[in-house]
Amino acid sequence: MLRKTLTDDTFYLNMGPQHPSTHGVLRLLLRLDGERIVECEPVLGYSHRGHEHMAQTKSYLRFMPNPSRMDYLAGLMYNHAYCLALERACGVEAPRRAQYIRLICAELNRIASHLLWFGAYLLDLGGFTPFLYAFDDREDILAILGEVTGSRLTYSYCRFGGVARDLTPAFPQMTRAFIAKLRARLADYDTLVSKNIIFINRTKGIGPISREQARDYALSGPNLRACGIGHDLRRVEPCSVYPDLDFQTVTTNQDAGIGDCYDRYLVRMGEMAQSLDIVEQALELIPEGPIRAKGVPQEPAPPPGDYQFSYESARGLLSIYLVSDGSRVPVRMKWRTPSFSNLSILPLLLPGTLVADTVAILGSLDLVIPEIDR
Amino acid sequence: MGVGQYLNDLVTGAWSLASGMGVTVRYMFKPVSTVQYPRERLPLPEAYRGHIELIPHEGGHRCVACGECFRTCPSAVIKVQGFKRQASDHTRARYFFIDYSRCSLCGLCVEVCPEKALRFSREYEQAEVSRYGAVVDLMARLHEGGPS
Amino acid sequence: MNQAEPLYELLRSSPAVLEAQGSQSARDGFDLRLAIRAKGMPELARLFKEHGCFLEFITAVDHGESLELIYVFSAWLRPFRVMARCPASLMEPSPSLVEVLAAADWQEREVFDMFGLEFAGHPDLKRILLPEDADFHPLRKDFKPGARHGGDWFEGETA
Repeated sequence: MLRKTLTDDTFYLNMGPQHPSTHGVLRLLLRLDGERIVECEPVLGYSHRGHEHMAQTKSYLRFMPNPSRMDYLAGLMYNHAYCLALERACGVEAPRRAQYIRLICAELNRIASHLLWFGAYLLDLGGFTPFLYAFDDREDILAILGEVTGSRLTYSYCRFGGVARDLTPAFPQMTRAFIAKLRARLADYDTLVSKNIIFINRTKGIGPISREQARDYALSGPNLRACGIGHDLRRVEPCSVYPDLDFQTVTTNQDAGIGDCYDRYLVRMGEMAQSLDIVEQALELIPEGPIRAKGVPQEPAPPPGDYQFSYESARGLLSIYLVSDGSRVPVRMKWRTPSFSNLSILPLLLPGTLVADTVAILGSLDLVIPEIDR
Repeated sequence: MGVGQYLNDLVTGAWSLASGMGVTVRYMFKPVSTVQYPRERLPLPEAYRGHIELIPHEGGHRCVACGECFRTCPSAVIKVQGFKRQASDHTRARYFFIDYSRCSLCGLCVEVCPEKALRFSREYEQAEVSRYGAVVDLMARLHEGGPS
Repeated sequence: MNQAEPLYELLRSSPAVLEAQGSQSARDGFDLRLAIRAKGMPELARLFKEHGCFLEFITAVDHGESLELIYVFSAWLRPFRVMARCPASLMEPSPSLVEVLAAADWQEREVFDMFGLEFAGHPDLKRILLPEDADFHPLRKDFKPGARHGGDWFEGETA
């Protein structure tokens, strides 16, 4: 805990664990000097459910619903990453069609996650209107994903060696309609928010992160790309069918970008447009064929050894480290979640800023607390 | 900061607010996207996953109580017990309960079932006053021909 | 494995490294595996930092009779992933990397929280995910959930 001396004129403020702008149950212990923050300490663990322990006590198959509970806003991506990790460890490859279906769903999920971030961030900053628009768009994605997966939030749709259900005939048409709609909406968001003078004043120059700091704290995802580093695992270590698709990593300008809240906002908005392009391309390329690999054991059991798999989730670098002894139950399964590292930079960013900026900075990091706590 | 810069900021700032307001006004005349839930309902997608149920089959069901579903279930919510009418008969399931309050709707039970005796129901309004209300007796449900 | 990576030669010749192994198959995800002395870890971390790498994560594995620390380093804009492993002991703290890489702070706290392994030189080594008054380390193989462990969070329903 933070300490202070008796003669010190500072005082404590507890933000959370039930503060609406912490998006979950994160507690920030702040030491304030008037309105300025002197020190900050995040206190974690309010939604720790022990997923890593559960993994050690269940078989790989029975752990399947768990990953999407870690990051509930991008559940399909965690599901996807877990299946890809297992498939690579076992040397199984899913059919092309299944890989495309997973990719499309994961990218749609990324858009949904960024849309929710967009709405909630603007709500944190005091703008109510964009929140409603963002949720309207997100609703469309949930309807599309519901059409394929049958669920709206925690999908558990990807399976070891394929996916659970094939696409419905209505899916491509729904998705194309949505892509056209969101493209028009993104232009509206630009007018409504990106150019809004109040928004710019609240975010520009707030919470800048230098490249050295980003490296030191192992920042990843859009937060890193906002510092001008175009590190995207979909391009650097492409998994699944990402190599077939043509897209550019979204970053801010190498020289102009200072990695402040506004840059992070711009990168996420750019990524939504990018994901729309990816989905559009993938819809053209999707082949016919089976959706489950043949001759795959129902219970995955990787050969003895340790395996590592990295994936670009909506919030950044997600790593899964498996230690197997050849049985159906893992010896150890480590989940390196992006928000955990992204949050660790907060005690560095906050000192010297105003309490009102805490909300702006915290929101711009796009944290999902259950993913940090696991 | 010069006066020119100040005035410029003032004008661009005011223009940004006005154009943002323009977007809002335009949306005022667009169709309403809110659905007034208890009075209006959206159609459920075909893939919708409610809790599981037994598929009716020739006046009964196909479950042989092999236990594959409760061994696979990640949360151990399934209880199934079978019986034989006489020694030479095949085992048939007689009791089939699920504790829906702990079910994560992953669908593994439906997939592993060797007899394809399970499917997802289409229930979605399942508020209960007690946690015991969430225990579903699938046999009773099947015989009542429950809502589906 | 990217043979042109200049760091690999430096790592192979580093005195802290006992054994270096290239990746054996495309399946394991590591380009290079190092077996190291725990004492040499800060020096190695400095080498990684100078060459623009970041610390992806630190974790531990309980093999039943022995514990092992795993450090994974990665780099921006190129496929690069190096894993360093060293034996760890509950009796003897391993050196902390916080001085070198700030990312190690929370990672080491998590390892301490989950396994009870201590790090010498960590400025504020305390529990991070579990409550402060917990008296167990859940990812150790000798941990039994459901048994009483001091506090009463497990009271009531135990599966």
